[in-house]
Amino acid sequence: MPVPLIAGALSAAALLLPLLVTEAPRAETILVSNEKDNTISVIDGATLKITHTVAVGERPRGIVLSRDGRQLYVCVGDSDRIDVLDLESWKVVQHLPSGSDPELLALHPDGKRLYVANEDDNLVTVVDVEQRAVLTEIPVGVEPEGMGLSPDGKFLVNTSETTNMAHVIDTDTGEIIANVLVGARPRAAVWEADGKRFWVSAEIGGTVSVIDAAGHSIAGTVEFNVPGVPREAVQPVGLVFSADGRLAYVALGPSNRVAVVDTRSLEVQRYLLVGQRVWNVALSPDGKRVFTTNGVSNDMSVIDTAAQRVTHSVPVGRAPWGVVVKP
Amino acid sequence: MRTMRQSLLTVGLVLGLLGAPAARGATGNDPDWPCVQRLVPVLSAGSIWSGPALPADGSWRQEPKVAALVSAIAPRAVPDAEGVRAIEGFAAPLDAEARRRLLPMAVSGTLAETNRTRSGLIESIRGFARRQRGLAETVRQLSEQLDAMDPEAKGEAAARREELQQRLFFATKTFQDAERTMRYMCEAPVRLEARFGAYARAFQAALPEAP
Repeated sequence: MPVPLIAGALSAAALLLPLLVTEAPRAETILVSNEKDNTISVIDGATLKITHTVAVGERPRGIVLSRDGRQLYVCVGDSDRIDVLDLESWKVVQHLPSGSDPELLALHPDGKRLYVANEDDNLVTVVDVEQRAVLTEIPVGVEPEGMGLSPDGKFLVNTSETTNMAHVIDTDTGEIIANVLVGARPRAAVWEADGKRFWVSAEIGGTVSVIDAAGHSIAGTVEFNVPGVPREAVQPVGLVFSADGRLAYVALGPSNRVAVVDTRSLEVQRYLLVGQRVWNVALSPDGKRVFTTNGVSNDMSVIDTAAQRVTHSVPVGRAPWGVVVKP
Repeated sequence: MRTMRQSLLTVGLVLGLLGAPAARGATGNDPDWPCVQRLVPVLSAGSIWSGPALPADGSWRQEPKVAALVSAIAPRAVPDAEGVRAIEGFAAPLDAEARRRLLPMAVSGTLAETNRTRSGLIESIRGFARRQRGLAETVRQLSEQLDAMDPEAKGEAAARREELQQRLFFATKTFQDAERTMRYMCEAPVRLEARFGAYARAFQAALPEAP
């Protein structure tokens, strides 16, 4: 007889857990780009309710906060520009030039230089956000995609979808200083906080390459094996590190899982079932939650990092793509 | 002249696309798969269902109530919300034991039928992509023939040149219209995947707590 009692107590605790999680007030705001709605969903971190839905240009995907956190830069690919969204008035206040079909972008630590991938033109365009002008264009591999700036801003890693390479670019000279072969159709490039390694996800290869930044060599590869899910559905895309850097959360596309990876052993600790076609991930400033965009189920999943479980699904717009958290 | 200029511009576009399907296709080496999304041929229960193990033996067909539910919610035209309502209506009168027995069966049947419809869609998309490649090849050949002709030719040769330009114009237009159609076609398997997700969540929500 004690078994049902314990199970009952456990399930009651499980029911209470989401309530406890949401009780603590949080000032953070979560911003999600909705590729098919041409909007940005603004979600209050405390209540997980949508407070604003802001219209932007066509096909918003990559988003990044300005250095002061007051503006959001939005790649609007089909409008061939970057929209600047003011996070107080919730209005698009400026357009920045971007080159053709901008998809992903990265902001230099100086807060001025924005690096934009132009998939159609095989270029990375560098934009000065204050002058609202293109500073330079860097020719890269075919179909540039992921953009990762080193923490000191000295190096940009750009992934090329077709050549399956990560290009390391010296941001002072604009020259490519190394090309690293990674898995097929590389997507995101994300640096570890100490700048010693960067991780590159490969959507078709189904792996994540961990690259030593000094030697530009592969330090290790993360492999995924989700029980009961065919290999082709495991498509690593966005990734984010935990606050202490010990774990990486990797979005695995149509396998509908986020993998929790030990950054030392590069072993997967756990697969968390989230919404459908999970594409990008972001960490809350206190490190306690991870937010995911799920492009097919049109929602955002919330992961409790301490419990390593999914606590909420928040409906957003159609085809949610990018996600960032404003403290 | 205007028509010719337009043709030449669009020929450039089509010739650009001619080399593109492989690059555009998600696997990079499957020219018959034209969609941006990487092809996942079969939806798996494991990618969406975290409930009890599903019967894989087609037992859902032997249970008339379950078979009726599956045939009501699986057709492509059924909207997500309508199917979810049918699932909730199906589960409502069942006791816990019946839910535990019948709901996994219904998930298994819905998945099988969704995959059957989805496979048909995937095959149509592949066929469409093959026809597009044929059309692109026609455009390329017509364009080559036109290039080989003397632009100053008079008489019969000029008439022949005019005819080729017309054919090129229409082949190019057909190709471009079909490209737009293809983008919509590529969305159809994704919509089925999304709907199956909504169904699976509704089934999961209707399952009783583990004993």
